Amino acid sequence: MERSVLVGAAWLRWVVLGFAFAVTVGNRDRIRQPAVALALLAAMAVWAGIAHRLAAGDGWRLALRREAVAVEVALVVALVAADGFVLQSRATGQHLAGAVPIAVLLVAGAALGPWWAAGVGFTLGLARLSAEAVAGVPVGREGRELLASLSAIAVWMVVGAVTGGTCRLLRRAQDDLAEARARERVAADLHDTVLQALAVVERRTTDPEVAKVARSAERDLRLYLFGDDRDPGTLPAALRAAAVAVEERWGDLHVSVTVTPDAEAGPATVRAVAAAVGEALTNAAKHGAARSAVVLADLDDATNGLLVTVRDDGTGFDPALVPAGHGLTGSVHGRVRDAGGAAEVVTAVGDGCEVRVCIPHPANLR
Amino acid sequence: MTEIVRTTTVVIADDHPTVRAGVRADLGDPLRVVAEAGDAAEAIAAIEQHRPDLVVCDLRMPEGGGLRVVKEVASRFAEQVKVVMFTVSEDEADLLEAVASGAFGYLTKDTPGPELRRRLLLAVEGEPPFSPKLAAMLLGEFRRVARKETGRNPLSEREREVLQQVARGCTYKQVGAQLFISEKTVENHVRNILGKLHLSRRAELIRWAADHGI
Repeated sequence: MERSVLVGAAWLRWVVLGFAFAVTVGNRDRIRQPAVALALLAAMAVWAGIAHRLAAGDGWRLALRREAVAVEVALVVALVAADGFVLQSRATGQHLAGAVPIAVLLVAGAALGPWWAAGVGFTLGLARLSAEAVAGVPVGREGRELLASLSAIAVWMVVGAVTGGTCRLLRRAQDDLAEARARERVAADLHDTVLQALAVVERRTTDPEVAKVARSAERDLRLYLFGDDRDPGTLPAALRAAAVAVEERWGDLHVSVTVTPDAEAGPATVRAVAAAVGEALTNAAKHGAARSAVVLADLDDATNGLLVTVRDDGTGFDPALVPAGHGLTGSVHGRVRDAGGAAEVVTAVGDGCEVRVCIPHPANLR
Repeated sequence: MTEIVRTTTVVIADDHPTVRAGVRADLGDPLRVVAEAGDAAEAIAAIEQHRPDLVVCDLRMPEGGGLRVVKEVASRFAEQVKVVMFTVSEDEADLLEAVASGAFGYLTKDTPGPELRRRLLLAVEGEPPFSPKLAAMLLGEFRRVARKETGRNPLSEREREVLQQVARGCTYKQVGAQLFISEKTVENHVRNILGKLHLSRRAELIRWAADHGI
């Protein structure tokens, strides 16, 4: 990506230099120091050649080094500042440097980032202002010239900053893409080998400890490879984290978590629901001796809100016999009520337990 | 009275010999393995040759994967050959696609041996092996269809209730008890739901083809 900027800047340099030459030659009668002007432009042309070769060759990264950028900045500053000495004031309305600064700003943006590139723009602007101070401005045009110089400073700073910012964004996107590709390749490989092997171990073993180790290894690997759990703020990630925490604490419980694409939840709802689910799962393991539990987060057809159910295969209990304020009441009901929803417990002795949490629309988006 | 147990023929398709050997060891009478296949092409050839009752089919395989096997079977041996997907995980992106294309159900590879055998025998009887996760995926899929295609959910109220209960983790028996219907009726609903999924998927494909001038 930086390389395309370098190559683009290389071609741009030739174009703007050609233009600068044409202007200089066209105005040769009015130039105080034609030799200096031509020498500066020639130096710039030599640099354009070097930079172009660098950008096109294998050593293109060299062109991004601070030293390389510094050389070009120095040359361009000299060119801009020379305006005052070599061109005969503003009679022509032309500048010796012309659009040459734009090319160096592109390179500075790619190599140094937005802030430094804006700084380069500012430096070039100062050079232009000092050139003006030395050369003097035709009487009666002072205001207009000052305004032109100030706007040149602003434009150069913006060009530098925007190029730098864009390069940075693109580079990040490129890195992300590369990482995602690498992960995908690893995922495909491991899927075909390690995950299959773990699944076979889990299935074939009669030793519950071995099965547990295999399952936990499989889950970790799967989370790494396919997990949306890298973003802890999402509902699936929060629910899975709650489930894993309970599974780790209560080794016998196996929890399956499903979130349908229609289940919507804002940050406050995610927090409340994940805490309530964790509590419900803990109860299932602790009091219900459950072996498996299913967590489902879905769109609630009745209210268009969020419906989360936690169902376990434990012993269940008689709701009439569980004293109010115990277990579920405080932690589950309280949190859910605070989030603007309601919780309900459906259970019977010997038939597991289902906790239903409903956060109606639009409270679920909070 | 003697009960005549009909032998059920099975083809196992998986690119891992260890997995095939494991499944073969878990089956046993009356499930008889007539062929093993290591990729989709081999699986299709074996199905053509043996016309098995059941195919236990991995999702990720060379030569087009389980999806190709399902599609081939759906277009040529629908109703005669039941393909049960056998996957590492139920999170796999193309699992829903496989079921929508005509797979009879699916089981994950961590299903213990006796359970695998039991579920396959039930599948022969007509009960699709299913999981809460797949039920939830189907709920989402039908909502999508309702939003995009017809504006109407193709599921009946009852079918949606059944699907919701299964998604929450209820067994068919528990669903039946909660909805005051028999377990067999729940199974029927599940089969109908799968049928509607195939239909809606086919309709969508046809509409897509028409829209794109194919």
